[in-house]
Amino acid sequence: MAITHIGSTLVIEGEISGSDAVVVQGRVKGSIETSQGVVIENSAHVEANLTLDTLEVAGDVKGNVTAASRVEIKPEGKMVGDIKAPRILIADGAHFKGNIDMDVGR
Amino acid sequence: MAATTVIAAGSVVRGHLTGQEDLLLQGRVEGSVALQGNLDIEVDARADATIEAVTVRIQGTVVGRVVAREGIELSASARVRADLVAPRLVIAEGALFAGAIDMSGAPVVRPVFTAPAPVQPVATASPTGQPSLAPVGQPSLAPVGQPSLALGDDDDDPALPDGVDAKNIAFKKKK
Amino acid sequence: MIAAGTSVRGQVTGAEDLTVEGRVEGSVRLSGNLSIAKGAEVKAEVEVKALDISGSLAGNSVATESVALSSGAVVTGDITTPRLVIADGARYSGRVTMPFEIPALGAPAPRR
Repeated sequence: MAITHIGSTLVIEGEISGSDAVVVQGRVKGSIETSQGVVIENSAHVEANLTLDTLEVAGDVKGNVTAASRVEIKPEGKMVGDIKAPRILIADGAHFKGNIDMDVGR
Repeated sequence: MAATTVIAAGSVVRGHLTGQEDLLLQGRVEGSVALQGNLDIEVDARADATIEAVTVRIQGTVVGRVVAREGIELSASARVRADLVAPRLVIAEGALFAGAIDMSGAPVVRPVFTAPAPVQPVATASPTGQPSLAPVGQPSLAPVGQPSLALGDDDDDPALPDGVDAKNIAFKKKK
Repeated sequence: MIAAGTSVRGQVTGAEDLTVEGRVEGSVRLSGNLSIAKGAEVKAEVEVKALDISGSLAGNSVATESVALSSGAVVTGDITTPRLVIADGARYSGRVTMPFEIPALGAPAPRR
């Protein structure tokens, strides 16, 4: 499986889209849209709307998320924004502020 | 060497990228790329962008403008319609290229790479995340301040804006 | 062949290949190939079949077959050619025109 990897010194202002998984260690401001999974690592700062299959947040996310399958916010993760996903896991220690909608009709 | 960023084959990045590491492009980029690192554009990759990097290796398609602090290399599979600015240049047999070349060696580095850019937002990202893009061929970075780079500012600059129609530029052989 | 100690000023035309080791100023039009040797200086408009440059060329050139700049070549002027090779160490400034097309970008990624 192909993975788009945004390194820790990268700053993207704009949109990432496609059919690859995306791993973010740097900064993204704009939007991320993929049919695969997205991993926001601890060093990452993302200010974007996210549309994806699965999302794992261990860094900083500000934006709304629509996930086809699942969203997980790890203990180190911080998220401000609305989540729309059929399954959501917010770990102990994680920070989250926003609305949750788990009723994604499929 | 710093970590390598990879834009995989199925991905498109539209907007402005900056960074202090190498970048491997297997997919597509539209907009601008400014790296304190090396850019490697693979065979099936395509960049419609203003590019600045230390070295740029092009095996795929590039439309726009490429400025390299150290050197630019076009491989046999390269298809490039862009202005090239670099002190060193290699164009391999088989590469297809059209554009202005400036190897005057005027230093490109200082004014551009001074600060790790906190990128100035070119457009405001609305809450729904639809940033508008600066047209290709319009550097989003400080000008390098050497007159020799004026080659890239010609009206007939091959750097094409969005909505590019390369068909109009097809070379008609005189006979 | 224009030898190293020779200077030519004016129009050079011919059906043969030509090697320049000296100096040429003006124009060179050949149905054959032109080779500008290391140390040679050509200040001319050039129209040839294949153009090989190891020396110095100032002037626009049109080649019907190919243009090659070797390491050590110093070239200014526009180049029009179907094939081009630039070796590491060559120095060039000018505009290159080669006949080819890059397809326009396709439709942007679908929005959800």
